[in-house]
Parts: sequence; C-alpha cells; structure tokens
Amino acid sequence: MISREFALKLAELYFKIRYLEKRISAEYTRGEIRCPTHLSLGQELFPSILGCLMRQEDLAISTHRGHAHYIAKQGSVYALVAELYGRSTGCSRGRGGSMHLVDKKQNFLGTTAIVGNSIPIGVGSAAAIKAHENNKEELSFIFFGDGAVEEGVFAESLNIAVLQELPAIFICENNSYSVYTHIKNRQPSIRKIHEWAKSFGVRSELLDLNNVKEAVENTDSLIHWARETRKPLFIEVATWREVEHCGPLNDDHLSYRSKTELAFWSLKNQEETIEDLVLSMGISIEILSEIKDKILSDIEYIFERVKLDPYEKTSDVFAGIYA
Amino acid sequence: MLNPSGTISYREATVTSAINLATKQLMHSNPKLRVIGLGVNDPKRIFGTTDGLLEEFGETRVLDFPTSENAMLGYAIGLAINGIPSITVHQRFEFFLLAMDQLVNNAAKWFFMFGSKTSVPIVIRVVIGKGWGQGPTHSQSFHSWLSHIPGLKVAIPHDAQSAYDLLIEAVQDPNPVIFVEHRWIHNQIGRISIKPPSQGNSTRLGMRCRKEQIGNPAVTVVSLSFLASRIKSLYGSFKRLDIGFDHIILETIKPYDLQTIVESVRVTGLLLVTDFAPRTNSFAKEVVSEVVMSSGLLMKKPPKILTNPDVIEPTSFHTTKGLYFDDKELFCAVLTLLEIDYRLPSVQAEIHLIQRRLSETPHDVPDNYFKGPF
Repeated sequence: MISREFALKLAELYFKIRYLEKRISAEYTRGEIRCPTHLSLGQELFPSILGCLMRQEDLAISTHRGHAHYIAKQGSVYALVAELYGRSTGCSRGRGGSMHLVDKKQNFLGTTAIVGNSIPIGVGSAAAIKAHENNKEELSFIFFGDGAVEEGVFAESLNIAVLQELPAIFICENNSYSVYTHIKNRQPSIRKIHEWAKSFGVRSELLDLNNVKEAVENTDSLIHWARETRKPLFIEVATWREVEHCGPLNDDHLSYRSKTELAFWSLKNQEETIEDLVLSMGISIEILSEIKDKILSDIEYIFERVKLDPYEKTSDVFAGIYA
Repeated sequence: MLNPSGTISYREATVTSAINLATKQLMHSNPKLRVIGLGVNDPKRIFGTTDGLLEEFGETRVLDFPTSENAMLGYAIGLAINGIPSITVHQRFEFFLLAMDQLVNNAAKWFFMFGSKTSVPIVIRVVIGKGWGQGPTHSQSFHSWLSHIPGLKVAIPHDAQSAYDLLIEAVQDPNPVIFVEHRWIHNQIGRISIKPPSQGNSTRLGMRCRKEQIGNPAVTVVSLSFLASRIKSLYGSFKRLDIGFDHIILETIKPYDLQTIVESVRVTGLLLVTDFAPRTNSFAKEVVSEVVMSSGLLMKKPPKILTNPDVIEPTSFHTTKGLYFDDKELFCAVLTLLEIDYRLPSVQAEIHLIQRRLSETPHDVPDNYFKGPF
C-alpha cells in the first residue's frame, strides 16, 4: 500500500518537473535559452514514481529528453536552469546545455544526445556496481525512448547485461514517436518492445500507468525484485509528450499525430490524477497548495538568480578538454 | 619479472612481450584495471599480448566480451566514470569502426561536456594488419582520422621500448588514449628498460617522439610505427654514402612534437615525411603543412611525403606487389631531396644491396618468420 509520505513525495516530484518544464517553455521564446531543449512535459509521471524509489547511491543515466530523470534523481534545479542559460554555474559549466545534464552528488551520471548511446554506459556502470563488493543493493537506471531500441547498441547492451547478470534497470518510455516518425513506420506492430526485450532473457514488464496506485505498487515490487536478485530488469511504459519534439511549443498543427491519438492522450490529465491520489490519502488541499507554491517560488527565484551568473570565458574552454 | 626494489632493469623483449609485461605491471599496480575484448582469453591471446593475464588476474579483470564493439566501448566508459579504468582490445582497426559513436561522441567528449568533472581513463588498443592478403577491410589504419578529434590522444609505438613506455603512460593518463599497434612491429626484438609504473593517475601522456641523429644531418626524415624500422634498415647504406640526417620517429600523433621537427628542419632545410595512411588528408600532410607554415621560407626545397596511395587494398599477393612504397623508394626519396646522382657507382651499389634484400623477403610480410594467417 502506498503511504502518505510516498504520495506527498510523488506529488512534489511531479509538480517540480511539470512546473519547471512549463516555466522553461514560457521563457524559451525570449531567446535567452539558446540550446536544443527537449521538454519532459506529459512524461512526468513515471520518472516521478521512480524518483520515489531510486536511492541516492543508485546510478542513473538518460537521454536528450532528460530533465524529468535528472529532477527525479534529485539533480540540482539551479544547476539545470543555469546550464540552459549557458552560465558557468550550470551543471556542465554551460558546455552541455539541456541535453548534457549531470549531478555527480546525486549519482546522476549524465544525459547524452545521440539516440541510444547512453545505454551501454549505464550497463558499464552496472558492472562497476557489481565490481564493488559492498554495493549490495545499488542499481543502475538507464532511461531511453522507443527510438533507442532501434539502435544496434541497444541489443548489444541488453545482451551484455543479461550475459553478465548486471544490476541494470532498462526503462523504455515509449511515446510512439522518434522526432516526427510514428513507431508503426519504425517497428513491426506485431512485435512489442517489452516482448522483444524478454526474448533476450531479461525479466521484462509493460507497466500500465492509468491507475497510479497500482502503477506505484507494481514499480515498487519490480525495483524491490531487482535489488534482491541483482539481475537486470526491463520496464516499458506508454507515455506522451505534450509539446514538440524539440522546443517549447505545441506543434499539433503539423498534423503528424492522429486526432485519435491526441484525443486519447488529452483525456489523461495527470495533474488531476496526482491531486486525486494525494487527497485520497487524507492530505488536505492546503498542504498540496503549499507544496506547489513552494515549487513555484523556488523556480521564480532560480530564474531570476541565474541570470546574474557569469559565463565561462571562451578562452577557458581549451583548458577543459583533457583531464 | 617485477623488480620489487622499483629500480630500472633491462631485458630483451619483442613488442608483443613488452605489451604483455607492461599490462601485467599495470594490473599489479592498479588492482582495479581491467583488460576487455573479444579474444583476450582465447587460445591465441591477441597475438600473445594477453598471455597469462587470465591465469594471473582472473576472468572478471580479464574479460572476454561479446562481439559488440560499440557497446563494449560504452561499457568501458561506464566502468571508467565509476572508477574502473580499462584497456580494451581490437584485433583489427576496422572492427573498432563500429565503436565510432562511443569514441567520438562519448569517450572524447565526456570530460569536457560535463564540465571537466569526470574523466574517462580508457586505453583502446587497435591492431593494424598488413600483407598476407589482409585486403580491403583488414589492412587499414585510421590514425589520421583519430588525430582529428579533440578529447582523444593517439599513441603509436614503433618498437618494444616505445610500446612498453607508451602503454604504461597511456594507462596512467586519465584521458582516453588510442594505442595504434601495427601488426608488423609485434615481433620486433629490442632491449627495453623496465620500471614499475608509478601509483595514481598524476602522470599524463604528453607528446613523444624519438630523434636519432645520423652523421651531420642534411635532411629531416619523419616516420612512425613500422616505418621507423624500415628507415633504420637503411642506416648502413646512408652511412656508407656519408649521408647524415635526423630521423624523427613520432610516438604520439595527438598531441605531437611539431617543435622537434621544426627545429630539425631549420638546420637541414629538407623534409621527408613517411606515413602509411592513404595520401589525402594523411597525417604526413598535417606535419608538412605545419612545418611549411612555420619554416617554409627556410626550406631549400619543397618537402616530400611518402604515403600509401588513395587505394583500396586488393587481396591478391601479385596485385599488391608494388602498390606501396618500399625501402628502395624510401632511400631514393632522400637521395632526390639531396640531389644525389643515382648513377654514381657507390649509390648504385647501395641500391643493388637494398634490392637484393627486398628480393629475399616477399613484399607482403615483415620478415620470413611471418606466415599469417593474420
């Protein structure tokens, strides 16, 4: 059973990701955030659930669309926003931008921009966990999308994780699109990603997020299983990005997503889902409002403050290439 | 084998055994270091370079691996950023092409693009094939490409000592290093000085070259990898003709010691650069262009390069005959720069000597011991 604390933490993470992304979206058109930015809007729920289950000592790695995973792993919001504005106080000193987020303190290893290419690094990180004998329960979380499984390196990496029995958690967030190309044009419809993964010999599950309480319980029990068995695990979830592939705006006028799909996903108001969950736990609406207000005021402060931060000098980047 | 006192000792070694010895010493000095690659534990042990590692260090640290070059490098990066350095091994450079994404987009960039906080201590050994019908996809070297990528270092040994020293320095360097290992140097024997590797990762692989001065230098000859020994085999002929030169053997090409070359050219005014990359955009041209830009006005003649032609290597023994420059062409290139008349009897005698030597060994092997198959 989901606890009151869990529900509060889930709500806090969910709104932290969502409000941050909304603010980035609103600021983006001013032209001060000048880097390719792939927002997690619409895809907040599952990272928020995992954020409640991941431990600080767990490792995590993600993709170009990595804001949600970074926040879920308790990555510094300040360092993320500063990174978007290209400031030297950014998590990557302004060298990486939205697609290269890192928070070493939280064991968030990084996000990379070439589809699929963080997957083997997550597997190698799982091997590093296994090599440290006192790491009895740590896991390596590897986030990627439905496009990444089409890269050869995905199959290579999954094979290695199964072969070497590594504590790697493969999380495939299937939002049906690789940029503008629907999955039906990329993968045969008779083959589901989680079923294909299962054929590698990994425990593989498709998680339904429609009932959030059940989703939490199922995810919790899977992660618990992985911590106990130290074996790899594959999880697929269906999700939906709200705005364009890259950038802050809605691009449904391009008509690449069918009306049926748009109608189906627009019915899923996850903000309400989270609110209902919190209220059903006997938590008052005032407490929830306080949480939201705190998140919003933190974000407000950060967006004001980072603009005072310096930029790294162009001449200084040359010294940063080699260790 | 290890000298417990930490002092220098000497021994005879092939390049293969020098690599093997350096690897063992490194694995002893850093208990975290791993050797990873398809075949590192197989019966052939990567031409003998990984002999005895499995028995001494076990299969976790000496890790045979699936045929997945790209994921293997990503895996090694994952280990490296979590404190476990490795030497990864590829029996041919061409297979390593499958790992270009991990190499260029991740290994080379990681330290920089995440704010210079996490380094990627990986050494990637790539073996280049030549001769015995290696053909279109087993005979190429992409060292010129790799020297083009900021964030990487590229080391190229040419003999047992440089293989030993470079491997130790490369592994102790916290940055990704490509160790370009030509199949035709593996069996070269030399006397090497051995020193136990220092602890920690405070050392850096800097630009390295070896300069050998023959007589009173009248020309600067630059080489790398197996070409160094081809030029050394001509030392006797040059000495007998009283031709002096500087032979500068590059041991790293990223970074590389341009200054030593420039200083030599300022004395000699003549430059020959040899390389086994295809001609267009070869590393030889990089050297020539930098030297010309800095010292062109001091040069007595336009520089020369000897490279592979822009060709795909055919497999046939007969077709490859004459495809690449040989020792005679090397010799004559120096004579041409110095405007020495080939018709002089003393010169003709040396050319005949070189030709006779060439005729004693088939063109497609480094020496008669070499019987393939790869």
